[in-house]
Amino acid sequence: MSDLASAIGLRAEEQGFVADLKSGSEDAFHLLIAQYSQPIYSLIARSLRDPQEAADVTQEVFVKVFRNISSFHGESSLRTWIYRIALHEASNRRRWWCRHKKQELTIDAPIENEDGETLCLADALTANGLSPFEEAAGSQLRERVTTALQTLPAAFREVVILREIEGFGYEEIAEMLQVNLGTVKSRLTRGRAALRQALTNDIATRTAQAAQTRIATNLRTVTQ
Amino acid sequence: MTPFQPDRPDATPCATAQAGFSAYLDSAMSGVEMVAIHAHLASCTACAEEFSLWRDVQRSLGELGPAAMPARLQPQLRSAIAAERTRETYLPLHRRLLHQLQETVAPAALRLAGGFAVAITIVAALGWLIAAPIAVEANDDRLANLLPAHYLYSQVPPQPIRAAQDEPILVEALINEQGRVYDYNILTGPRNQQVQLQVADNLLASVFKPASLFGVPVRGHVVLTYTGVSVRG
Repeated sequence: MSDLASAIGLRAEEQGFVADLKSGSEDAFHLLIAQYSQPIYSLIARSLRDPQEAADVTQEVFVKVFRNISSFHGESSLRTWIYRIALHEASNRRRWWCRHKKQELTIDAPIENEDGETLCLADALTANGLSPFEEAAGSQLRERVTTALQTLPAAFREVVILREIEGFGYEEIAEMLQVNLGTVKSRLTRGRAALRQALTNDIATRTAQAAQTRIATNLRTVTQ
Repeated sequence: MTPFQPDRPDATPCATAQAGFSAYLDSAMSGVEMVAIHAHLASCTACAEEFSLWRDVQRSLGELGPAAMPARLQPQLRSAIAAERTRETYLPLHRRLLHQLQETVAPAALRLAGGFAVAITIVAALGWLIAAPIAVEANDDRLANLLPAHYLYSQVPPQPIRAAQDEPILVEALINEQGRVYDYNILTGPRNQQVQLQVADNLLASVFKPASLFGVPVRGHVVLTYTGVSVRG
């Protein structure tokens, strides 16, 4: 009962907040930015193949929220609504990237995956192409995971990020992506499997490279 | 790794267990299913190693944490929102249009209404001055400078009119442009031939100032009164 009461209280509080947003309150939007800018930026940065664009897309998301707040009628929670806009904008940016850049780079020819979704070959290639300096700097593990994450098809990557990094429940993810629960579970399973495979391949590649380096070093030592 | 195919009766226990790894990681399955996978993992080393990899992947993702936001982004967002707020883009379209109407058209409408009222006043005043007809009045003789004819003198001394009895004789004399009588008419009094001859004699010798319109002599008429005198003896 107390949970229900707190849920009702939370709902009423959000309604008041939404009313402030609809009235164009500057304070309300500052609060919204303070509360959501970090998670939205993070989601977009993880979703896009070029994280440098994340700041611009985040700004587009907040401008869109501001412009469309009058059409928000509380069918979902405010958070879900904002995340839905963010995912939509990220998806638009990815499509734009593939559409425009493929004319410049032939490796960007879209490949259709099992779900009928397209992804760029360059996603996979550039993901493994981090410079040695970047490899050396910071946590190698985090970079490897980030890299592996970028190799996933967008539909799987979104679900994996929302579940594993942002910590959303299945139902909320389904609501954000406007797909059914079964699709969320399926994409999550396949995304995790693909990620596990990508990381395993990465480890195997690195092990082979390290072995080759060791052999080459030994050969040089022997010839000298 | 054998792919999971639950619809197929020949699916291996390993494939069934591995297909449930994702849900097992999130505890998003029934207790019975969880116990079944747990039991399988305890008995199958290959699946236990595979599940260990899945758990490592999950842990790695968890450790990844949120991407660090650039320090300048929040001020940039506030600035963008402030710009949008100035343009009132948060309002629904109909309210935005209404507001723009109030901001732009309403003051213009006030000026237009004022200008229209002034124009109407000016046109009405000009119309009253120019176009309105002037009512014709009975005392417009002076305006038309219409002057009636009137008696001046007689070229011979006027003779009294002898009649059968004493009574006034009222005569209407018609005067031409030269101030002479060209016809007459006895309005009241005796009308016999003797009286008419005497009246005619008097009128023929009489000189009048003719009637004039804007200074031009025109025909007119004068009403004269003679006194009829009866002579007995």
